[in-house]
Amino acid sequence: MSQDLVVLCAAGMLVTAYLMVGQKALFTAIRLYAIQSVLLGGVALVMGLAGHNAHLLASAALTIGLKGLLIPWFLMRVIDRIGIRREIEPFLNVPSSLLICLGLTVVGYRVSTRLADGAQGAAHHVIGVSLSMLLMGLFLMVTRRKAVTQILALLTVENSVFLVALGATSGMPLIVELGISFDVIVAVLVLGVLVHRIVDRFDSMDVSRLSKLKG
Amino acid sequence: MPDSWLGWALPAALAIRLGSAAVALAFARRAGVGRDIALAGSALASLVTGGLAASVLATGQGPSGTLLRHAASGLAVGFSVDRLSAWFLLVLAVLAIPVAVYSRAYLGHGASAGRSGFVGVGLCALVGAVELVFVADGVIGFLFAWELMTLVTTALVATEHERPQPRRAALLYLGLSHLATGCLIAGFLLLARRSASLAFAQLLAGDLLPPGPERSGVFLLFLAGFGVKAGMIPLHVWLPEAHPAAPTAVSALMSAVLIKTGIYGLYRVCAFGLGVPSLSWGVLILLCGAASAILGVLYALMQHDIKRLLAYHSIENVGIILLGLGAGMMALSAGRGELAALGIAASLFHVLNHALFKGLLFLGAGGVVMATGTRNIEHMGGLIRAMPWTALFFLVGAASISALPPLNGFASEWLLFQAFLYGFQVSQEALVRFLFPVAGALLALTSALAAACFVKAFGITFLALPRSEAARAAHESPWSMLAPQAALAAACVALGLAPGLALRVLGPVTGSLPGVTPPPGLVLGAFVIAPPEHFDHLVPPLVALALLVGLAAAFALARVAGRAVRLAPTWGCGGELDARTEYTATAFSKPLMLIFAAVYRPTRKVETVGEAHFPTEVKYEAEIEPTFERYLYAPLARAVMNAASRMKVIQAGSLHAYLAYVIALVLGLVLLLWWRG
Repeated sequence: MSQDLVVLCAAGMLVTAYLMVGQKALFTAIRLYAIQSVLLGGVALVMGLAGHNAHLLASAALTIGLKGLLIPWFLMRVIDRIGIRREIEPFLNVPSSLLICLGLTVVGYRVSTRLADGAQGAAHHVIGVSLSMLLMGLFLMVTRRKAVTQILALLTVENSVFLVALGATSGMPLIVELGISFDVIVAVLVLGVLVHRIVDRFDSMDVSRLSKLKG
Repeated sequence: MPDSWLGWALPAALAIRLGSAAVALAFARRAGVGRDIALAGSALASLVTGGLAASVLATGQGPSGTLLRHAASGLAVGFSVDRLSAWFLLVLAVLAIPVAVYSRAYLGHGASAGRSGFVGVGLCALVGAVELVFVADGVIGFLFAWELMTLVTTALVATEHERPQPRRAALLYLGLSHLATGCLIAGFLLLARRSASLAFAQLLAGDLLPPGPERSGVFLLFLAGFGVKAGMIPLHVWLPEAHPAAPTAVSALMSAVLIKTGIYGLYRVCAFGLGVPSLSWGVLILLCGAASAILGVLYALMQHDIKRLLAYHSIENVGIILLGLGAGMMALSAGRGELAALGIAASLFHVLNHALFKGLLFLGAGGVVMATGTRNIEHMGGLIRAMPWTALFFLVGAASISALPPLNGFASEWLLFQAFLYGFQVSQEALVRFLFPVAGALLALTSALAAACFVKAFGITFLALPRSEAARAAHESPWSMLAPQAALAAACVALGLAPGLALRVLGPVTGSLPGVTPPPGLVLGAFVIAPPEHFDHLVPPLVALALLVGLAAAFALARVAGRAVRLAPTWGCGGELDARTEYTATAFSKPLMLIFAAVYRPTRKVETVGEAHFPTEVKYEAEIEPTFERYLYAPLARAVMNAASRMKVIQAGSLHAYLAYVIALVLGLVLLLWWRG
């Protein structure tokens, strides 16, 4: 039962990742990220309840509170301030992006069967999903122009790494998770400020204009 | 307890350095106070390490210990002082103390007086770093000290960073040092592959690599790495740029001690750390030494910047030191321990002697530069009247570097000659029998040319009439700058008259090196040097006595047989004699430039203004070709720049491109996992 719930949550995360790739409105993308984080929290919650593991419960609460609420709220505020709502034309159009992501998912799943010995059953699915999400997050970063989308892609990669940890070893020590959470907050804050700066300087959130800085 | 004193001496010296540097930096705003604290701390610490070195040399009991320990990784940085380290430490201390005393007055003048606090701290740190290099007992500590030394030196070279020349020199030094350290790291890693430990005791035990191409490759890496620091031709190009750019007190340290770290590395690793050296290694070092010696002095002859001239002489003397080492290594490869001891003793003795007389010369040059405000000797002249003491000390140093008896430069070079002659006599290998006499002949030529060069340097700087207003207004240096010179000059004379003092210490030092057996008769007494089997003897005080008797006889003869002395103005062909009619440095070195035209490949430019036969003005410019810079380094630099501009394509400046590199790497790794799984 709990195994099925874990796989369901993980699959939900994969779906949100796909939706993010197909999405152009920034607000929706941020909401998708919030949902993805809540689902990640769900994975931790289920695993914690099933394994009577108190620190997984703590990290579930941390994930939902921080990544499900705080960070999305902050990013929405950033977008509100600078008043840019939509991703302009990406380097690659949506259908081909989705096709490539499909390929990445195949790669992720295939490799997950070759990983550690214990990667069977639920763990297999969890690791497969997280590897796919990792690759998709990186792919998203390369093909999108808006700085906020790139932040979201980075956060997706971070979520996927968290998921790998959950799937492979049922969570990292709490101190490490706290450290990573802190890192993520700081990174988002810094990146948020950076987005302001980029918009100030270039009147756009298009990071490809940063190449003008090259000497 | 003497034991505990020895063990604590080195950490204590380091603590003194760190403490005084920290306090001095706190006073950095008030340059004078900071400088005095740093220099006093440096001198005190050098006193401690000097005492430590003397004690180790006297008893052979070397302390060792740990300076830092990182518990998690088990990494420990330790020190151990054996006789070889102690000898170099002693050389360092003998020079660092006079330089610290001298620097107090010297750094306080001139344009950069405002930052003399920082220069003082830099000097203190530089000496400390060199000490650490000499005593490091493992790769990590050694490389850390090595890089610290490089960085501090770079900063010191760039002291006057408002001018472009010091900036260029500092960058050049940094670049070449990077290359050198890269070679060293590669060499150490290749060795470490065979060893479980990074400690020198295991790594340099000499049994890691069997003779063969791999061992020779490692040797070449180390030779290049240490050769750069030592200023060995053809890796010397940084040296004549960096030495003149630094404040003179720093130049003295750099020339006398810093380049000796390269020599120390060659001794520690190349000669005695990789097992019994091959014959070809010794030949290579001998050839590099011969090239450095002869080319160093030839280039020095053409310099009119007094500090640049001294810098080229550093290359020459490193060449002489390498000649001794090369001869020793060739002897080692043939298993001749006695001959090796002779060459190595001469080489190590010259390490000390060069530090003494080159330090002395640089300190003297610093006084002259301070008094006249120029480094160009063509604008000096007549300084002997204004600066009699500086002139006297400079003359002692000049005679010593020219290997004139009875000074210390002569003692070590004589020993080296004996090594070559003795080696020729006892060796059977054709190569050795050919190379040793040739090297000896080159050494003789080098000494003769050095003498010519210093006739020029001393004569143009101190004799005749002042050639400029600044030279006319010059005044003697303060006593705090003269006293260190006096001490060094006295040491030069003392070691020249009684070389046995140094050789008695050097006997056990050479004996502590693997494969070297010092001949029992090397030292017959304080005043005699004699190679094995009573090959040939030298009693320097007798030489000095003969010289004195000769001088006295000539003087007496002139008094008795000559007529009364009559003073009259020099005949000037009816014209007036002034500074413009004097012999110039360019003119003095011109015959030698023509004789060695094949080396210099001089170009000259003569411009006449006015009618063909009655010109109103003649301009003359002569230039020698910078062979190494133009034909070795310029193409190399061009190739690097070309490669760099081609590599720039990757660095597009686009964030997406960089992200694409990341995803390509991750995807590649994942696919590798797939394929391998």
